[in-house]
Amino acid sequence: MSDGARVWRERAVRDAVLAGDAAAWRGWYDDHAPDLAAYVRWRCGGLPDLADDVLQETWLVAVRRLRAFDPAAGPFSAWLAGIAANAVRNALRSRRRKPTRPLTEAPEPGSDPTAGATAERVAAALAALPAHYEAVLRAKYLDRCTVDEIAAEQGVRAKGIESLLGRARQAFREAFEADHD
Amino acid sequence: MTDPDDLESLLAPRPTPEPRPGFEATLFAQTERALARGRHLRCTGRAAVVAGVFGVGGLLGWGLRPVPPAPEIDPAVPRVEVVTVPVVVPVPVPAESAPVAEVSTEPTTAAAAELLAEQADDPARAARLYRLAGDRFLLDAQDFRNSRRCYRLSLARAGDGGLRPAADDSWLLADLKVSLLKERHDATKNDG
Repeated sequence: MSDGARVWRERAVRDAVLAGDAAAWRGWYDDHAPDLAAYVRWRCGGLPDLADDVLQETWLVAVRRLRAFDPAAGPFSAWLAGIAANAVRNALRSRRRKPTRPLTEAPEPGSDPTAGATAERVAAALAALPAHYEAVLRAKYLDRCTVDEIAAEQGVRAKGIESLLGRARQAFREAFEADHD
Repeated sequence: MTDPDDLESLLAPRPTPEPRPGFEATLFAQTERALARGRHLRCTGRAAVVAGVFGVGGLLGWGLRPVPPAPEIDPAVPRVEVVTVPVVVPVPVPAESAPVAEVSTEPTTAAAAELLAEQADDPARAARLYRLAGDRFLLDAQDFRNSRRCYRLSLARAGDGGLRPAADDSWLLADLKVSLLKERHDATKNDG
């Protein structure tokens, strides 16, 4: 689908949803819910309780601000991802401000007791990264794109993506280690 | 963590956990309710704006309506207030069977009195009217000749009783009565 066709379609769907078309919302929600859920789980380091909270907050904010969504500025999935990224940061800050609430779930018998803490450190490190580093790491590790595919998507040379990917990995490591300290 | 592959274990997506039962349905229902609430608020807001515009327009129209200038009151001139009180005036309606009231025929001038005296059939009434005409000619116009004539006619219509002197007789009438009584006395004496 060309960008013009996408803009036209998403604008029509947005207007239909705002006018009260339940079927349009059902279809739009179903189209984007799986990808958004996968992204939120990745951003939350795989913590299911945190991911559910963030997912709920993301959808509710999205429907409240749906009138502000401009398809010409970017696709609906990217708009949802932006809302989710903010929701993850807010949720992590909230969890860390409340010392009485356990930071991780109780480990299940037979599982790695440090897995929850590691997952939260991953989420915190991703939340601390600049948006372009987070985006290239997402393309590489979540979407499983090759360097060439990322370069084609962003319209730059593969060498540039390799360099960007290297800097993003380094920033992630530093944030991950800093959170451990 | 110098090997880039080390990040694979941290950043690779974890296996999808079992979804909480009902979570997806509950979440979707929440989004539908939020959308409906937003639509309701937008409609209410639009209606409130329209009502507000009408209200402001009405207030502006009321505030900018032309006001007639207040009458200037001169404090030096005392204010006179005219109070009109309705008064019921009964209008007499004569019954059909009621007798027609006799119109007063009392003359106001000497000529009118003389005219009525000429038309009167009753000698006493004619004598009274002639005397009235004589009084009017004498007192109102000092017309001795007509006054004497009317007095003579009055005494002629009154008969013998009319020659008796009365306290309200004018000097001319009294003189005429005396003259007539004297004539009558002389005539009786000469016949005898």
